Amino acid sequence: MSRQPVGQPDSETNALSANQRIEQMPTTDREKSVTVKNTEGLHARPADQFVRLAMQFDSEITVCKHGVDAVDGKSILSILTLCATRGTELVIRAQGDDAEDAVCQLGKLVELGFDE
Amino acid sequence: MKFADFMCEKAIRVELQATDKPSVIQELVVALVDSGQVKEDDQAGIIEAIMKREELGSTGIGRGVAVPHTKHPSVDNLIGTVGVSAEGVEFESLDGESVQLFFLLISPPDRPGDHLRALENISRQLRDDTFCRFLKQSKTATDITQLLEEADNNQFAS
Repeated sequence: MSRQPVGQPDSETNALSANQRIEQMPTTDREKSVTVKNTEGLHARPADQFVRLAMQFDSEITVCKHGVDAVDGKSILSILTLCATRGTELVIRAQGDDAEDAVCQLGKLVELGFDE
Repeated sequence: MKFADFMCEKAIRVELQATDKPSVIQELVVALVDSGQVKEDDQAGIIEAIMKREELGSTGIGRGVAVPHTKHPSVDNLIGTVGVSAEGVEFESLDGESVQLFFLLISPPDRPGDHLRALENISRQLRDDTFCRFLKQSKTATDITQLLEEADNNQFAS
């Protein structure tokens, strides 16, 4: 164990504190996989419900169907392009302060079949 | 699914007379009856079903577009038509804007997948501003059909 000579910068310590700063940044990133349960799939009305709920969160929200690029979770046109029939697996991703709450609530909406 | 798979050219109406939601729906369903896609006996039932669906939440999905629709046992395949209103019609859209462009769809009750694929096609193409604008500016049914064909050939959205 060697002591750091006085007057010399401790590069290792500096690097560590930089990392800690990154970890302390407020943005969180959460993902949740859900399966479309309702018979009709993600048609206009459920898509509307999803988007309305998504807009209540500050986080950026995307939805991804396997093999397809992620689309904006706050745009009904984008959600409808998923063509998510019953049984489709979707990954909901949120980035932001309320990401945890967003994926949880949006996931629940899909999993409960949009009350249909 | 492509537009050509469900759009009925003879029922396209580029100069809608209607100025409110019920009359737009009426005008487009009558157009489908006149073109032989729907029996006259089913007209009232279809209009009622579409209006009932609108009560659950407007199908005005924003950008001046609405997709009024219903399931109905009188059709064997998904059928649809396009209507354009230069003035725009108040439709209680999600973004509060009036609607100039209507895609009305009637699908068989047992085929939810076809309905979703039609919605997918419409919404994917409408994300292209040029396509959306050209449709709203169309003056004839032929203009609309050509635009839909071009969209089917991937000349707009990727």
